[in-house]
Amino acid sequence: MMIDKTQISGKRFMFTVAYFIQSSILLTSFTLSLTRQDSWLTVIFSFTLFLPMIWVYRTIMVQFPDKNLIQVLETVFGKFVGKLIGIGFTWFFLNLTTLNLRDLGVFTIITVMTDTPLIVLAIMCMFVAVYSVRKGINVVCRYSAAFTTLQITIIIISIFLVFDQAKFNNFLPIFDQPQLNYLQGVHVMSTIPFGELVVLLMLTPNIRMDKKLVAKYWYIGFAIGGVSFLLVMLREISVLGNLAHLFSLPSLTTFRLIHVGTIFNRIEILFAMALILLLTFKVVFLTYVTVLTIAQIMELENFENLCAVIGLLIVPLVITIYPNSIENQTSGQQVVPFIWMIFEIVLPIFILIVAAVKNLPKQKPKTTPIKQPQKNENN
Amino acid sequence: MKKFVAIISLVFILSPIILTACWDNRDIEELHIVTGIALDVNKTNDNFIDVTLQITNIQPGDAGKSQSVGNDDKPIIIKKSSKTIGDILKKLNNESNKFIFFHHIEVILFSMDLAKKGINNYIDFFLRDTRSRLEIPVIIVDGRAEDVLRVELQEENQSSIFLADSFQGAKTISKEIHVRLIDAAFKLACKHHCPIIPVVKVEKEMENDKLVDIGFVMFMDSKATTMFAIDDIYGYLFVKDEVHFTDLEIVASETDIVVLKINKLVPSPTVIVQGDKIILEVGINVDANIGEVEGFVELEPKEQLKLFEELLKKDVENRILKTFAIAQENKCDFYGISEMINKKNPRAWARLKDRWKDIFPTVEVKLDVKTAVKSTGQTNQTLEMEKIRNDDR
Repeated sequence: MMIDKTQISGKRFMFTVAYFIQSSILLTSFTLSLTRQDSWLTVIFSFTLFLPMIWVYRTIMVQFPDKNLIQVLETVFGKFVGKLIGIGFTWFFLNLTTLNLRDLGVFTIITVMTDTPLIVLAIMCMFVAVYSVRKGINVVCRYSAAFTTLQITIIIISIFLVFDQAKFNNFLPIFDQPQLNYLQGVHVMSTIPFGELVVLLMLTPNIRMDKKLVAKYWYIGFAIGGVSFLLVMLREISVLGNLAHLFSLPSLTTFRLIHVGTIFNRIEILFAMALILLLTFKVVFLTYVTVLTIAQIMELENFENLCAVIGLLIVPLVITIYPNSIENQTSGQQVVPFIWMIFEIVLPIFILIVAAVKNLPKQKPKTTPIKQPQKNENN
Repeated sequence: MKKFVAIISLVFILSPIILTACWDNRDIEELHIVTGIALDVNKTNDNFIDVTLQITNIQPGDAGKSQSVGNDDKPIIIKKSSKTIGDILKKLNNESNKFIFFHHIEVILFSMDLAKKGINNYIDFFLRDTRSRLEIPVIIVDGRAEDVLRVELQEENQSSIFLADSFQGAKTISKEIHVRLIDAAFKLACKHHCPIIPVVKVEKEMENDKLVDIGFVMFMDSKATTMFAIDDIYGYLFVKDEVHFTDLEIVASETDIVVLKINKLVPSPTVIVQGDKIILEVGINVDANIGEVEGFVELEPKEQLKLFEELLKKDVENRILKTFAIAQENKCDFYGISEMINKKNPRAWARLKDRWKDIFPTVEVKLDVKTAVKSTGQTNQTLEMEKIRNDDR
């Protein structure tokens, strides 16, 4: 049963992968506080170490081309156990949506609407999310290519504008932090921006692409996102130096330092607005995945009526999930990566192992495209 | 019909949220736009600080003027004392008829007395406060910092804007002159790196007040210690960063003086660690033009250029050695040699760091200055030389 009948192209999926990583750039402080000037190395290590997981995600997609993650779980582990694990994934997706909405709200308060309560911003964003999600994946991902391009443009322009303040000495000394910090940094990087890509497994039946191209789109999307993240990290360290880990939003601080002549200064608000736009897209996407997951578990034929309910559930969670940003950061470094790892790394690998043991899928997937393009589809 | 009613209902429900977006808006006339902040030690209570704010005087109707807002009016000065900046700002806000708007602050001033007590806590306040700018200059005032905000200048009504502009302009010579809030924080956060911050003073000249850059003050353990003269800063700049567009007056003898315009000076410092012996090696390339010549009449233009290159080399070396000696005398590593060792050779630094205060005065400096005087300007020789040559014919 396919709840959402709309579809997206392979290229749009690729940009969604890239964009999904890019929209986490506000979280550089999680890694910076652990590995400081070596955080750019942490990005490279985690990127390299996560490549096999991209293969795992890609293989799940190729082996079960007509099933989203919840359907795969039910096929592999049986209806009862599959649903039970599915509930775990629902909790995970719900938390991801809440945390990202909180990040968006806090960032908006710091940059633009300093006196506006978080709840007002959360309601407004959720209103947009619910409205978009009701229209299906095609609307949710429609602007992924545009947003990815916008993000890359912002990164490149900002690097040019702060280039005169960048000091290459700030990257030294290399490998000067305690070894455990590198391990923790790589763990945080792998689970928080990269591992969150597991949500894209919920889209499998809605992607229209050739089976042979699945890996290509996954890897290119992942590379665009990873390189963007690396560039941001290099920018932050080279400009902020030994203070980079001190700021809760290093990107915003870097934007604030832009001062080129008398024209290009105090323009962080432009970058902030763009980042808010990008984060909104991520929240919309995560809300879609959460709604779809719940609809799948409850075996609903239609998920439109569920959107508002989920939206209403997320708003109070945003207010109560963390009392302050220190708790958020501590949890992001010490608790969340361990729990997230179960959903992002352990369970997907387990799915492949059990599927191999049970010789699933029983019917071999067609060698033709995962989904044949539909002629009258509005792309 | 049902759909229509649903839409209308939704609009009514959402309108309180959407339309109240401007509930906290403030018109420009309702704001006290702070352009400068000065921090002093309270005269009667040592534990208190005085915070003085310079505020742009906005009159109703100023917004439509072609000139910048408040250009014709003297700035407003308000002052309050307490233990913390936060408490003072709260009190000032309560007592004021307008909201104190902090986002356009241009300069942060500390009095020398306060700087001697330590400025880390105050720098931390500005660093933490989401309203303050990180690229604004931090300046120490020889005397009361509030006097700088109260000063009446000919060039600019608001001394804070004057200072911000002049330090921004100084960046064209070298970035190291313009100590931004983030630079001050960056250096104060390093345990062994002693930052230097520029010092200004209010001086009376005829009937007008004047703001004068008098030097730089060294900070050790976050506290201001010794000051050195503005002329000695070149010995620091020539090692730390590229220097552009500055004039050096070189006196060869009582009658022979040359002013050389430095187009570009590029230093490349490296630190060599040999056990406990530290050597600072600095290769320097200088491109200069002749700006002004007095004397040197007996020399041919070609010989002059050669001599000027030699004089420039010696001058650059002397300036560096003099300023480095000041740093060593005060055991104040404002050149950041400790940072250089730590970045390039962390193991050596781990061995040296506990004894750094004793090791730094023994650091040896080796200079390799290469100078090139490339242009004589619009003329090849002085009128005096031309006159002598014409007389000889």
